[in-house]
Amino acid sequence: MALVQLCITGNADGWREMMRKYGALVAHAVRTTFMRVLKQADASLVDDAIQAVWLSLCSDGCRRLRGFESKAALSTWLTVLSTRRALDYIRSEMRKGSMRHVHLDDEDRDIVTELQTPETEEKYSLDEVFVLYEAMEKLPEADKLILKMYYLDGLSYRSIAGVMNVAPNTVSSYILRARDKLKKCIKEGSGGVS
Amino acid sequence: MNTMENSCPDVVLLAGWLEGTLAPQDRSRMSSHLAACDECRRSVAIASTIEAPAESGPVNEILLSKVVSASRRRRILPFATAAAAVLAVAVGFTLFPKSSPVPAPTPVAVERQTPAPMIAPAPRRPVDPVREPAPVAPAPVVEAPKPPPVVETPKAPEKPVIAEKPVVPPAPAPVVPPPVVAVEKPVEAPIADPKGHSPVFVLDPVGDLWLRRGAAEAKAGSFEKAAWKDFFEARAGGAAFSLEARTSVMLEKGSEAAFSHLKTDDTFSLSLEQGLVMLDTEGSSQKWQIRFGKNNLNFSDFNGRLAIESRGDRLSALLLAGSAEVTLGDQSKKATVGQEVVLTRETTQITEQKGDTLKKLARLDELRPKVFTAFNATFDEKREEFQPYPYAVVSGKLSLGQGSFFLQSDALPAPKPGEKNGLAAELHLDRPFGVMTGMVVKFRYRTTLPSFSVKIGKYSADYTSRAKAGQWGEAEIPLREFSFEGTPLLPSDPVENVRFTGFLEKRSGQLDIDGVQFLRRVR
Repeated sequence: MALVQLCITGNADGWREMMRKYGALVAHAVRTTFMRVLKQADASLVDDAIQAVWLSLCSDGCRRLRGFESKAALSTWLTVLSTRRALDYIRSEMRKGSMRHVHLDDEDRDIVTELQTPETEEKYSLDEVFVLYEAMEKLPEADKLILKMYYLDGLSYRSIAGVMNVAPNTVSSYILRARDKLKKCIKEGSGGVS
Repeated sequence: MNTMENSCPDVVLLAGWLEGTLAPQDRSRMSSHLAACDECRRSVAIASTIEAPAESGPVNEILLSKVVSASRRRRILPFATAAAAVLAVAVGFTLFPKSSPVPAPTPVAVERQTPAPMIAPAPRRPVDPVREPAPVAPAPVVEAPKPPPVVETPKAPEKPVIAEKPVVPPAPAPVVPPPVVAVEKPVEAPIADPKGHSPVFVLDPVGDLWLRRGAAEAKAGSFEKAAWKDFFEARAGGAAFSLEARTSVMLEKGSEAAFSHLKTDDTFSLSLEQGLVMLDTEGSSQKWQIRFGKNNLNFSDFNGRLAIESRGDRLSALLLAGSAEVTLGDQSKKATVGQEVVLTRETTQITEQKGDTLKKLARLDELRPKVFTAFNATFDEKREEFQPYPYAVVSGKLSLGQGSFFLQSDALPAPKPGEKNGLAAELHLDRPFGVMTGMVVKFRYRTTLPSFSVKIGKYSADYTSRAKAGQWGEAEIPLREFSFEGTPLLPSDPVENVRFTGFLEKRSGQLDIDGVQFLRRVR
């Protein structure tokens, strides 16, 4: 907190220490976000986004930095802030049309493929994806969250376990259970047998 | 699918959720939100996979400089606002004690005046390169003699983000307000050249323009100060910017160039490492020095467009339009449009050959910024560290509106008995510029007058208000509409001041001005 307070006052030494200590983390978080979303990390755009993260910390009278509380470690807070800002940056560049070949929603197809289980031989076309999402929204929140993290965000069992505070070997059963609920929900929604 | 919830939680809550440190009810609320909000979930999902790198790299000095100045910049706004409010209340109590009758409402109802809060009427004020924001009001904080550089408890090497435990709040201790920085190490600034090369201001860059200072580099911001050792690079594509609001500079992709200013004879200096740089003096007559090896190629009385290209051991300068006198050593001649001056690092003579004017002119028009701003006064300038368009308020008072200042006209007594009273606001430009073809003056106004006049020097133009009384409106007047006794304002005429005047039909009135700009739009 002392370092944060020092930066809020506009102290150059404070900012130098903040950038020395967390510069690599912010850069890594931004680069990882680019890789996850775009499957590529153009050095120039990444540098630009890193700069945007730092400037967002000190803009508007250090409003964001003032919002930091000791509820979380500064490194975690900066990591989440960096990923969020990098996502904002990518979205804004996409709107401007300067980024092409963006795969933001490519991973959405995986869930369709995985739901095509051999025992039921059900086929979900891409046109029916919206039905799937509609059904997903009807699931209990815990199931919805775990499915989205696994299928949409591409998190590993280990990461999901870490995020949800559960044992890694229970994640797969949670996912299976949520998938079953989803299938059931889809059938019910389309007038099928539950 | 990509739903963004209206009330996304703060980053600190997302981080707390990721670390598992939230209270059960907060965690449950967060889980509900993450199940519904793709944006937040994606942020934490990606963040959860990131492990903090062990090494800490060198600090980017340019970025550090920007961050420090940005963190200082806006801090004074609340102080300024508070000071203005306190002052206004104090003045109100002094002038209008409770026993006095309530004064008649003036047109300016919302804004409170502050006595000369921002710009002192001191013309010819030099631009202060690194100005500490002056405290507007004494802040109620305990001033420490010098803060320790870093007071954070040293930690073991960084662990993965998730594994890291939050900083445990310290035991209750007396709350010490953040120390006001009195003495500190300055941020690395552009280095002045002992030979008299002063730093230059680069404004409004477009394209992929980067600034390199030693090993540090950063994308050029909307306002940069750069010295002779700082290189501007156009990376992914061409780039352009305004040099001190006097010259438009276009850099072809892959070009690297440094700029400086020799104040002794008002000469701009260009050192081209590689690539193609094109200059447009935007209607003014300038001096340029092109540095190449041991040679200096000088262009004096240059008014037009020039393309300078570095081809390894050769440099060429091609006058694309306009006129200039070119000098190399003791040789001097009039530059010819379309004739390229070629020199090597050891050349002692001017050599000319035919250049590809049309192709370069087309590229110049393609790259150039679409708007050239010769002057811009927002009346909030002193909050910034640099002032690219220095000016002084000659008539009128700066008043605080909703978060920003504007210029409120002074009341002028009638010159003769029986004549009308007036209102006037005037700015004096510390750095005059020449009128350009197609230039306009733009400003915001709020008035109770049906019409008012805008004067540039002795030339004036009448403007009929289109905004409702008491509401802000926008005006734009082409400079060709300004005249004096039938003679119009012509290109290259100097613009040294701008004055807004109006006559009052009633006893009181209002003429407020904000955002005065002189622009030239390029088609």
